[in-house]
Amino acid sequence: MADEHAATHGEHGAAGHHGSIWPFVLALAGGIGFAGVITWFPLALVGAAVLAAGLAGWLLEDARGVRFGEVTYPTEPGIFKSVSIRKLGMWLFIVSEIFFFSAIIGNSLALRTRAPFWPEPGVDSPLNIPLTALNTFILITSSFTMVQALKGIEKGNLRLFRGALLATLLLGIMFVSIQVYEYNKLFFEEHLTPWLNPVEPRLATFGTTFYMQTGFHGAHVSGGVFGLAYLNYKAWKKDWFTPHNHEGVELIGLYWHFVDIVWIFLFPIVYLI
Amino acid sequence: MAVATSTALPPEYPGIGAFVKRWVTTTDHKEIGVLYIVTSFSFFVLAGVMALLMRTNLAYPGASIVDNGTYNRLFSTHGTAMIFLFIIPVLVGFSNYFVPLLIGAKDMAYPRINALGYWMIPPAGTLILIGNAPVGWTGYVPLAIQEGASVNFWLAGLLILGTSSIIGSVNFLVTIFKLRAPGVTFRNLSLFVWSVLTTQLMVLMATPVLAAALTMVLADRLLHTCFFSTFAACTSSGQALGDAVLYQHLFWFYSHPAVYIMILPSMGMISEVIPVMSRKPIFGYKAIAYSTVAIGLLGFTVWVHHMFTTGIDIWVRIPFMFATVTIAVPSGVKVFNWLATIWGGKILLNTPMLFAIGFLSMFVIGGISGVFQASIPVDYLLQDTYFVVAHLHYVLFGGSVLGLFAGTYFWYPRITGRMYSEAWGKLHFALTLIGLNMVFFTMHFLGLMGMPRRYADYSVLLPFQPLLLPLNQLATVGAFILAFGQLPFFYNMIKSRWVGRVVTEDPWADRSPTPWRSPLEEEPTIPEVPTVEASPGGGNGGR
Repeated sequence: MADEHAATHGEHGAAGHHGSIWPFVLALAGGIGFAGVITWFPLALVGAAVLAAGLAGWLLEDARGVRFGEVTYPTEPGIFKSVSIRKLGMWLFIVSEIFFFSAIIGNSLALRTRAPFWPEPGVDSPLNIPLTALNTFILITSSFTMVQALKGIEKGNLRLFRGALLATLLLGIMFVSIQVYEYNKLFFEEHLTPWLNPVEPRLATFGTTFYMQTGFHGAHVSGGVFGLAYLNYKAWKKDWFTPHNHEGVELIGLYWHFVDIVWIFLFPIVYLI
Repeated sequence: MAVATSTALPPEYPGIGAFVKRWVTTTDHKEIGVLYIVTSFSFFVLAGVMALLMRTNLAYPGASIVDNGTYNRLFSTHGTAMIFLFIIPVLVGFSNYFVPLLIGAKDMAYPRINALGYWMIPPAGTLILIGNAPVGWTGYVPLAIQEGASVNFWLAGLLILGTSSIIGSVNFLVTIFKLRAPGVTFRNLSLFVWSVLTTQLMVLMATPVLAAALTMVLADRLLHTCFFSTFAACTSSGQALGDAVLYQHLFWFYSHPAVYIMILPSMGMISEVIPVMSRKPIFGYKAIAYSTVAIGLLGFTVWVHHMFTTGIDIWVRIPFMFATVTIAVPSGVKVFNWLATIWGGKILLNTPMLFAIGFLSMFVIGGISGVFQASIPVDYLLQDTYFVVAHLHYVLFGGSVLGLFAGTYFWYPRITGRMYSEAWGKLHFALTLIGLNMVFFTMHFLGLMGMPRRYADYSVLLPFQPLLLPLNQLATVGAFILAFGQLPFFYNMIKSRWVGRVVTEDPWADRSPTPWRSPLEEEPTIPEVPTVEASPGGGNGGR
């Protein structure tokens, strides 16, 4: 189940080290892009372009079958012996994400305790709870279809695999689109801004924490959509994913479920209480 | 076994183009380790020069060698660069080089991500240096919101460094958990690897919180959100919406663990050096390993001790005081185990061992002054005085950096294939120890006399406390001795790289239970399985 992707792709052995320019390009893109964000915005676009090029180069290297740090030698089994190298990496990355979201959510709750005003859901809250409930349902469904996709590839059922993966992608896009629509409504019609505005000054803290929490979650969903798009593309390549070789599906699936779980915390905290 | 014909590492390159290409595209953990080490040491020099400018200014109160604004920028960038661009990355560099070797792995788990982690350092360092923000290394709000655009650069640089740290920590943890050679278990793991394991677990959990905090400061600055801001733009009917103390909570939730992120790898290096130079197995292997983990865990429970004077409820402060004092216990366990390792050993007083002993003594001074300040009433008196500066420099320079020097000399032959010069090394040690005690021990007295930290000019205090002047001048002389004391180090490191005696085998092979062979054909070092009962024994001899 958790086979490494190595065997089928690329003929590279473990001998020798591969060089790669893409780490350098990606880091440079990060520097340029960030410098752009804080100084002159067009520079951020240059950074984004270099970032896209770097990511493409990085992924193409993968697609060409160049393997970095392939472990072909025996290792001590240890406490994570049933978890593959890449999956452990994803789990640890998720641990760091948990701390990131804990900081944001904790910070928002702390600000709420001292806020002079906090809108009551269903009374004076500008949030559209039915719409977001629908969006929550969409995201949970997408987790379900993600599980189905994994089941499909495990059993070799390509129809189920490709169909469910496509459904996950579409549901993900739908979630992001509804969020964009919601933001648009809130920002321009309800005057809910991340800063203090003269029309609805009482909502300032609420707006600040609302956009921070849902915004970072939305950014993570968007990242997941990008990963799902990549998976969908690979899913149509012959023999890229096989019943014994589909770790990429599992990894992006793990991330997707994580993003879903974060939302299950955020929805009640931000919208319902 | 050893290949007698081996030449110096690395081999000569055909040309500048090939040289650049090799180092820019490398994904090899050793080469990335060297990149980290070299880059970090250049930031060490830069930040050191800034310290000298500050000390010069303080030696002549009222003369204003640098103006007050520049002084603020100097101490801010000095702190930021020393912490985030020198100590943390240089230790990551050594970890990069030696963790795979010490666990018998061929490389890190994700070599390309490893390279990405390194390459984020130069852009981040550039941003921090361009910004040169005058907000201290802590970037407290509301100052960090109020100040000019330079703070944006500082924030951007730190956010990039944070990302680099997080992906690096995932890489280290997976490497240590998954890539150990058969036979390398958590019962015989090198103590350096134990310390890296704990460190990187802390990085994984603490850094995202800093990233969140800095992101919110950036949002407050660029979008005028109201997380921490207490300014008019965030004041509604007379009440400030943002909470400045909240930032401190988030900041210190990262930055207190960061103190241990900076010293644990140095402690790991000491645990490697002392057994070899004492020609004895490490005393209390388990105690040192477990106390490392204990420090890592306790490190997350003490952050409020940086904020005792912010008006937090006393019943919140007291548990943090207790937790802070408790950290002294595992630290003490380590110190006594190192002493017991040296005790009765066949001691070789070479440069690495001298620095290791220097670490032990200086760390004890810095650690004890930390326990003083853990006490809430004492902290009231010492908060923001030079006593704090003395304390943090004893643990960071006297601790982290002396340990780092011990490790650097100890591993120099293994990295370069050449031997450093003992004479220059000992000169470096002597000047460093004299200089650092002159500058930093003096600061204890300055602090107790009430000199506040971060002051460019203290001439108004002189009528009340005339002793401040000679003591400050003494500290400045010490700072110069310390700074010039680093010249033999760099001279030694650079010169020995070309003309040092070629070594193909572990120079201390007769003392080490697991000596290495030629650096040219590096083989994984599999530690011996320790005999747990036999004490003093039980360790793997640190290697």
